[in-house]
Amino acid sequence: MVKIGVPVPLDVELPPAAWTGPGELVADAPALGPEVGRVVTSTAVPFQAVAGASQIIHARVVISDPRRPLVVRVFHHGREAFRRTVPISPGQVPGRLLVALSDDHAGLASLRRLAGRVGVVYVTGSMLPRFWQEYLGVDLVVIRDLDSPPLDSAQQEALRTWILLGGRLLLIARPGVRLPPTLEPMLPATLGETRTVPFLAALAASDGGALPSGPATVTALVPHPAARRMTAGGLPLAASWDAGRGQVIEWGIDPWLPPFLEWSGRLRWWGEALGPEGAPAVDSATIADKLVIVTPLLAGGAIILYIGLLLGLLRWRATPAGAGWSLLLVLIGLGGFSLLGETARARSARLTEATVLEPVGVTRIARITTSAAVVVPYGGRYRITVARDMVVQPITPSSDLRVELSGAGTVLTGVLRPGEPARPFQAVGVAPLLASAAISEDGRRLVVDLGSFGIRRAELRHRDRVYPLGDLPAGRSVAGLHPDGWVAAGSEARTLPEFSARLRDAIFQGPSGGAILGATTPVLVGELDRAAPVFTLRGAGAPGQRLTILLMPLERR
Amino acid sequence: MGIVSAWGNPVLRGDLRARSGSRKIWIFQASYLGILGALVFLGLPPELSRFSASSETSLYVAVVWVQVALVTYGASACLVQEIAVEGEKGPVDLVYAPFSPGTIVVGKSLASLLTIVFWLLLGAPLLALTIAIRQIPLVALLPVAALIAAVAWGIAQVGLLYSILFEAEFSRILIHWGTLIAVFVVTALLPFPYQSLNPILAATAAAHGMLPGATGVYAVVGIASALWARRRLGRIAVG
Repeated sequence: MVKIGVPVPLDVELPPAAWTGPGELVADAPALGPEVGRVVTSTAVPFQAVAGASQIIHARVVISDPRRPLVVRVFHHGREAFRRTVPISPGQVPGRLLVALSDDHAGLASLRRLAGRVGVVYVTGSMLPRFWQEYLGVDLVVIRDLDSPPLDSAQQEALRTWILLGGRLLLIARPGVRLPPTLEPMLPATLGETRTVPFLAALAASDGGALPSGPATVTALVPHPAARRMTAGGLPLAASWDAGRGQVIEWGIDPWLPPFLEWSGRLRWWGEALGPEGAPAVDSATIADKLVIVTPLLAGGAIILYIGLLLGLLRWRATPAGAGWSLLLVLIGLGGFSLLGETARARSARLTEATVLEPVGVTRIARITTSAAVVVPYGGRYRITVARDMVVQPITPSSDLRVELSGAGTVLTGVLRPGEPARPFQAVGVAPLLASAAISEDGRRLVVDLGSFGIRRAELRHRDRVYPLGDLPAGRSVAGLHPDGWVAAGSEARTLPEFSARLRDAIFQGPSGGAILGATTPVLVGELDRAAPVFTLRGAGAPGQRLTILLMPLERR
Repeated sequence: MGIVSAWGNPVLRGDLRARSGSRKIWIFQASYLGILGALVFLGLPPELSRFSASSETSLYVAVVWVQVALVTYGASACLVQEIAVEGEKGPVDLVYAPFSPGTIVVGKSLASLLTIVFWLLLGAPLLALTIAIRQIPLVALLPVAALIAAVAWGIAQVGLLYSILFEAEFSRILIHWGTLIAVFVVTALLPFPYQSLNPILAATAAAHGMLPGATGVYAVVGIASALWARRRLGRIAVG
């Protein structure tokens, strides 16, 4: 199964190598881009080959054109040593993706009848990703059977992080199935005893829905007091709660077993478990559109100086000798302007990036979404280093792009022709961050705890209203809110720098802006004082613009 | 020896002295450099998102177009006396001085050529900026300079001829503008091989490294006009 436009984990099993030494795996992923002709984005993974030994190489690719096959090649000293073409059939491209860890690789085919072309892929625990970003294409992870050995710490952390940032996990409570220690505290219920109910349909369900007829073996759950639950005849059969932005669900029934396997009402349960189709809160493409890159030029002053000096000399020495002296100035100008042209060319290549930091409640983590745009106005090669643990992908697919994945991070290299528009990228990651913000029930008191960092130009946003707060220092701040302090978002009373204003507009006027602003509580927005760059353009003669915005929904206390 | 004898030409020395001290020429140079400078400055940031293979050298070519038009106009306007340079005498006035028609025509022609080269040199640093930023080799300027010099000098010689043929200032200016329109506009409407006589099209070709045939054509036109002017001056002198 391949989800379009998101990073897809790719494990390539290579045949025994014929050499010992460095090799490179290159995955050419077809893409649909604005360019004419075939667009292919190449992802390269360097590795060490051992003669006679086969190995599995992990890569991450973004496929945006499933009509053409993925081509995997292996190079040794620049020579192609291996090639495999992986065609992608339309049936392998779902709209929504359910990943199931189950020993029974059947029984969920009927989920195709749900809205959104749901696809199901069965995996084993060892196949689960070690980067949370590789779950970005997944809508629901179902754990029914966990093989041995258990998930390693990277897999546990990746799954936990994904859930906290908005992922959905469904655990089928079965005897003997235990979640790893990192994930167990996230469960909304503990497992009770397993019972056989002779007439399940006779039990009154707390949600008013029907249950399948016939006898059934169920596991009674012992839900956490804060968890939502569904009981049947007083027997807790399902429990769920929010974990960060995500949701963890437990079912005491096994949908792979009769009578649930043939039960017509199962689609409603699966539909609820899958949840609504989610979109990222921050739309990178909209932000990237706002990353207008201005190329400052020193040339204006130099041109005026040259013309001024020349005309001054011609006026001051209005003789043929004066004209001769002016030629000396022309010679200097020739050298100077040639040098200036080269300098302006070198300094014109620049990168602009905007990062949105979204802390997730009390989980001490924040999702990082960075949009960046690189421009080489007069044409040439660019080389961008992306911070470690950030997963990057182009927003606009393009050829001449090579993504090199290595332990040290990701390096993007490509070529831009003169006048070619800025090339946008997005990177997604997570950072430890302890911050909280709450507003009182009457909306007149704001308590913000920003931990070790302060924010500038803070404001509250709710629907089309804005409450400017000014700069907020690190640590805890308490502010009184006056109803008169709310102003219209388009008000001229707001004095934001242009770049900041444009980015805030991109966040709140983008496709997801309505969902952010339409929430029941306002969101706190501000600019972080100091934040490390996510993208670094090598050899750039001038630093580009960079801005990090904190976006935090307020709790109501 | 040739250079020494040319420098000994009193008409050349007089014209160069007059032009270097002329306020009108200074204003023309200021306008010429100002237009070139503004064009170069405004055109330096490339038009992102407007990429096409043909636009890679667009600014450089645009500067060359402006140069060929301005220099040609300036050179011919001086000789046709549309720009009446203070202290510079017309060729007909000089016939009554002790100068032979040959001296007058050679002096005027060389003064015009030197002025054209001087103006090209004044604009060269601005052109260098546009080509350096786009990594166009400096030698690409050579065919451009040769073409502009040939076109401007050729049309200037036609202007010199007009200043002898037409006594009335209005007629001179009218026919001068008629010639400029014919050269810059009408030639563009001609069928294929003749179209390359258009200075703008020829400048585009020169900017891409080719030395167009128009260079030779305008040089021949200039020489022919100078010879005609000398002959006409000779008749006036005899008459």
